[in-house]
Amino acid sequence: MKKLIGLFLVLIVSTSSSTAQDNYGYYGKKTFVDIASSSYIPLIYNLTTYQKGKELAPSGNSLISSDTWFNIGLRTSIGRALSSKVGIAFEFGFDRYRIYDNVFSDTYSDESESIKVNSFLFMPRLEFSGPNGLLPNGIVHQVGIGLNLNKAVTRNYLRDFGSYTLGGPNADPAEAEQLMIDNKLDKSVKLMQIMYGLKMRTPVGKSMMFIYGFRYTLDFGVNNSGFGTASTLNDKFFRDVRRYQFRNVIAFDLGLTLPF
Amino acid sequence: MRQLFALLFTLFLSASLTAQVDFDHYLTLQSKGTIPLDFSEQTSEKIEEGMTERRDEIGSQLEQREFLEKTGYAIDELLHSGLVVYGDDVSNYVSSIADKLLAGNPDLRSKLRFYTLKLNATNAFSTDQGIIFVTTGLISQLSSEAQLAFILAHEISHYTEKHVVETFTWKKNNRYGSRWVDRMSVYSKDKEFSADKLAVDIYREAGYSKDEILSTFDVLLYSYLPFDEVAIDLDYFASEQLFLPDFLFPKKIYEIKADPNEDDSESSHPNINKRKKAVEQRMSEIKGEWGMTINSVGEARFYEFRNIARFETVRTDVMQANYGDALYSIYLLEQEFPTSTFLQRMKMHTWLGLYQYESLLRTKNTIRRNNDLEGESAPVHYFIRKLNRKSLTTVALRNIYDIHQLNPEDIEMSAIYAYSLRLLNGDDRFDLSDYSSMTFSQYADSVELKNETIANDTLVKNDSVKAPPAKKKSKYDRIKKNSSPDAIESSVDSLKYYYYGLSDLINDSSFMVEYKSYESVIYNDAPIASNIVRGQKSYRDEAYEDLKIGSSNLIVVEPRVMDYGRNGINLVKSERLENMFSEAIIEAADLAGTIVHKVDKRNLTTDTYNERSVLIGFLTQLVEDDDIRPFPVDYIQLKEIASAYGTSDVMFTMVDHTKQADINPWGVALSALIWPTFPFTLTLYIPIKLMSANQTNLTVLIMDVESGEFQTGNVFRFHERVSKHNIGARMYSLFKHISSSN
Repeated sequence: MKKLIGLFLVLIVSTSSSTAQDNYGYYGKKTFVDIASSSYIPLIYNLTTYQKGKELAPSGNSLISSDTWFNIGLRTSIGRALSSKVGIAFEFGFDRYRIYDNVFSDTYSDESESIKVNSFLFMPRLEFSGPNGLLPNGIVHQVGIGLNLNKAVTRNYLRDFGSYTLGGPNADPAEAEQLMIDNKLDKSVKLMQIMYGLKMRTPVGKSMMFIYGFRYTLDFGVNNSGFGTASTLNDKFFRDVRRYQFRNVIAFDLGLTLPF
Repeated sequence: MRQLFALLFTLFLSASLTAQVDFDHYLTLQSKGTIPLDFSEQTSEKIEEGMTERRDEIGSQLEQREFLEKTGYAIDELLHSGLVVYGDDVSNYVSSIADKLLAGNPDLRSKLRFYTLKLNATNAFSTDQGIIFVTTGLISQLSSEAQLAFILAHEISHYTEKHVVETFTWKKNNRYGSRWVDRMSVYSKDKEFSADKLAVDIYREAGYSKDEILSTFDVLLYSYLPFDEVAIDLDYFASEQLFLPDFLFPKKIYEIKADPNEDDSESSHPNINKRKKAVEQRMSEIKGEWGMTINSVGEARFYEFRNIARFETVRTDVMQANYGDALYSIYLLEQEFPTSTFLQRMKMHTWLGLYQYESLLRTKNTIRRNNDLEGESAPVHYFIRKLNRKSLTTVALRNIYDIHQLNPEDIEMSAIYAYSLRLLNGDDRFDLSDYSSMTFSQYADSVELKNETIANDTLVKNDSVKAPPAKKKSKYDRIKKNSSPDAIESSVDSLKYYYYGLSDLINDSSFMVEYKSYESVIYNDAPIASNIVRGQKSYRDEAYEDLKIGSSNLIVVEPRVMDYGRNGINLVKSERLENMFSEAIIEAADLAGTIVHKVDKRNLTTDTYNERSVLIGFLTQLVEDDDIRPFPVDYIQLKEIASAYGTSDVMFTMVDHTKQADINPWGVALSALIWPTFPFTLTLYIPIKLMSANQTNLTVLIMDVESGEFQTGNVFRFHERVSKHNIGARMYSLFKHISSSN
């Protein structure tokens, strides 16, 4: 992957310094930087996740039910139009999301606070314009394969054993046990992400464009197996991150493109 | 002081009305003087000005805006069509007649403007804005100024009676329904009767002769015929070198079928007899004295103005590829102006055009239909129809060659001649070696001589020995013999007359060298139509590669934008987008390092207005038939423009835009039934369709105005809205391509 990233960056830099034809590009500008938000509704995840996680109540030391119905991440990329129809880019993305499945639960009755996960995306991608397109302007079809690194935010998470834990009913369900997970969820989940993006770049000036459109992704595990039963905490974490990513197929991107 | 100015103005005007026109070196009418606001102001500005004054007769404020928009854009379209001339001899003459008609009503006179419209339709019309257009076709048909005065009085009456507004409100209040056309016809005819009636009064007060009114209706009745009816000498098309057999010309006379009592039940105008009767009725009601004026400027001067109009009809016919009519009109005018280079040029244009149309088997588009043949011009159309591809090519080359031989120094004729030879050089179906080196009379003589020889031989042989048996000839021997141009036959075959029509050219070695020296033009390398078709696939690299002509100095005519909404073209938005597009071109050219000479209707002087008219005229000529590259009819003026700007490359651009998501509801419904596909429909199909809902076509056309040749062009289709930078970035890219060379 590092080699691939290196190759892309070399390509972008080398083509930008070449004295190639300037009859394409946006007013001749072929290099561009995208800065965009990537928002999505984890609808499928929300509807298909069996046991929902909780969020820490704002008032104090207790858990309350709460689904995240809107998530937003950040995407930034640098790209280069190689012709009016083909371009390359390298994308970096960051998302923070919550996984609901009770990673810490031993039974179905106890509940724990949803784990916050940071996701980092490194993706080289190709861009294709539509018929008679003029990259980076206009309708753009993006295709990329990249690495999606997911790592839990290491901090204390609350856990509520509820009434039917193996240890018997908790005297005070409101007083949830605090868990330190620093040394438990210590690995990142590496996913391979395949992405197709349908974007529109609409100029608002000679040096700026709006970019908006849809982003379709599929994530596959790299360093773990299957969605099946997980026994260890890390396995559970892997499984749930994969579920989350796999079920978030479509996102809406909105941002700016700066050509130069 | 004011009187002095008035005197000077009158002197100036009368000087312009008495100047002699040099018809031998005629050039098409051009505008003169200061450009009127009608031409320089934007339509949206005119509409806003119109909205400052509330006009209750139109209806609500919204309806007033609708009226101003509909009429404003239509009239401005005409004003910028390149067909309208102001301040020229004819317009000034028409205005001077209006001065007489409205001498007693200076207030009304000050509201009216008179412009000449270079169209062959016999027509005049007034607008709500106070513009009265008179076509050259109308003036060419008149026999006196008084007739024109009556027609102008009629149009002035339409204006004073606000007939345009009334018709608009009538249409608003009378929606389409049963017998709508009949009701509209009755309504419209009422307006015509009313205008005729008022016109009689205006006309009489101006002192024009009573006797000329009714003859005006004869002008209208026969207006579909050429401007004169003179029998054509059938030898006109033949020459010493070119024999034309009788079968090319009709034996019968084509009667004129005009009917003054034609059925007018669905017409906007009453038939001629009804109008005559109504006018006679009005004339009989008038008890006062009538004047005697027939031609206020004198008969000779009137004929001069009429001849200007007649010369213009020839030009218009050539531009519109009405070659049959053009040839007849040229014939008529040549009787009076046999040495006119203008007519010779137009004749060359006509024969070249006929050859080009015949190459695509479209000659019938340039002549009248058989059923429409009437009067003395019919033989011309009949003759052209009778010519087949080879014979027409021969006649065309014969005429072009002969005219050029007579005028070897004329730049335009030389250019047409060269262009013709280049086309012929690239024409696979034309080969000079097919032609005979004999003239038709030599051929006929040789046939006679052979017949004599055969006869003598036979006698000799009969007297001595038995004649040897004739060698048996195969079918193929006979075919070869018959197709040989020099084949000497036993009788004169007049069907092959054209084989003998170019013998002097074939025998002229210098012509043959010259002919072969011309670089051939690949005929039918269709400039526009095929590119439009190709435009659908113009994302291919070749579309951009074709643009590389190495030109970084361009004359750019203002772009045209047509933004289609639900109810057709959104005129206001289109105008706004045109302004934006115009700015985008200038900025893009500046960034790309291309020098652009803007000829833009938004920023005109009389000089640039004339230039623009010539350029638009050239474009009009081009779009007459998508597959034919006509030689520019205003070649001299185009050459002057090219010389003034230092480039002969002229760029025309157009954008048309529509927004339609094009989602197939049945497809979506089907997808919902086949439920596994529905998520893809929702998340992929519909977003793609929504995102590509904007359909924009950018058409670019670059012509070499000096040679009349298509340089490059294409249609670029993309799915983005029309915005300054969407277009600007594309224009930048196009300018870069255009300035580079293959």
